[in-house]
Amino acid sequence: MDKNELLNNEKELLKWVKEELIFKRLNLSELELTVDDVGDETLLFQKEGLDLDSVDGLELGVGIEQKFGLKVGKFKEDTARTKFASARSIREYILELHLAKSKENKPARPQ
Amino acid sequence: MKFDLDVIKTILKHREPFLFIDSIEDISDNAIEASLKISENETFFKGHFPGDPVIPGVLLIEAMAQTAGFLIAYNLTKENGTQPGSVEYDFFLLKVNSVRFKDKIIPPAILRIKAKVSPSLMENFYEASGQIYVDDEPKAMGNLLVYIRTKK
Repeated sequence: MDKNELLNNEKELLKWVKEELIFKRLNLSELELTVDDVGDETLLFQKEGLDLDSVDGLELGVGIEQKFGLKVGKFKEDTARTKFASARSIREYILELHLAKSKENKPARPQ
Repeated sequence: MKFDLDVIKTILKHREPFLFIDSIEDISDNAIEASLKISENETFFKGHFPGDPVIPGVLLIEAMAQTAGFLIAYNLTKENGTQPGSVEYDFFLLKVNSVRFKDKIIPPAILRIKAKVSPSLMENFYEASGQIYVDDEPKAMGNLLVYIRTKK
């Protein structure tokens, strides 16, 4: 599914975040996890969740930039842990970035 | 600009027998070339391999990481306006991607270690690509992810 379809379909976007961005991009199968281990609300960076680390956080940011051409921009480790707390929060973050970008690109209204 | 071992030791906290650059031949904002002399008498040749000395690939990765680490910490020192040696840095090698060893390196040899560095999306994380040459022949290359911060 291309990026515009995903950005206009919240359900598919969440699925993409879980399956492609989190599970495949972070090679979670190597940790003997299955795609079902990544739930909508599974805590990505918490011990009781997937216990991901900051390198994974960086990888998530790079993945979002690559897929959607959105500028995640420079961020701190703590930011990754909050913005990317779960698949659902990643989806919200992507939509937030997308909204900010579309506002920016809107031509100024003629006077 | 060139730097000798004394300057390297003000920036890197690595020391013999685990310091794998001994001079900086050239340095710019995002690229660096270091050099390392390897003699037949290095301790690791006793075991790698008896009577058949070959530089272990893992040490070539370390040499690329130290070269990139020097450039990053040197730039941080400059940016912060501090004197080399007045600030200590922590160095972490986080990820090693697609490293290739093209040909074995047999002592004695002078390694030219080149690295290009760019900051990643996340603060304190840097991507580096490195190459090692001996007599203009490429011997090893790879991409690294390193984390460098001012020691707290």
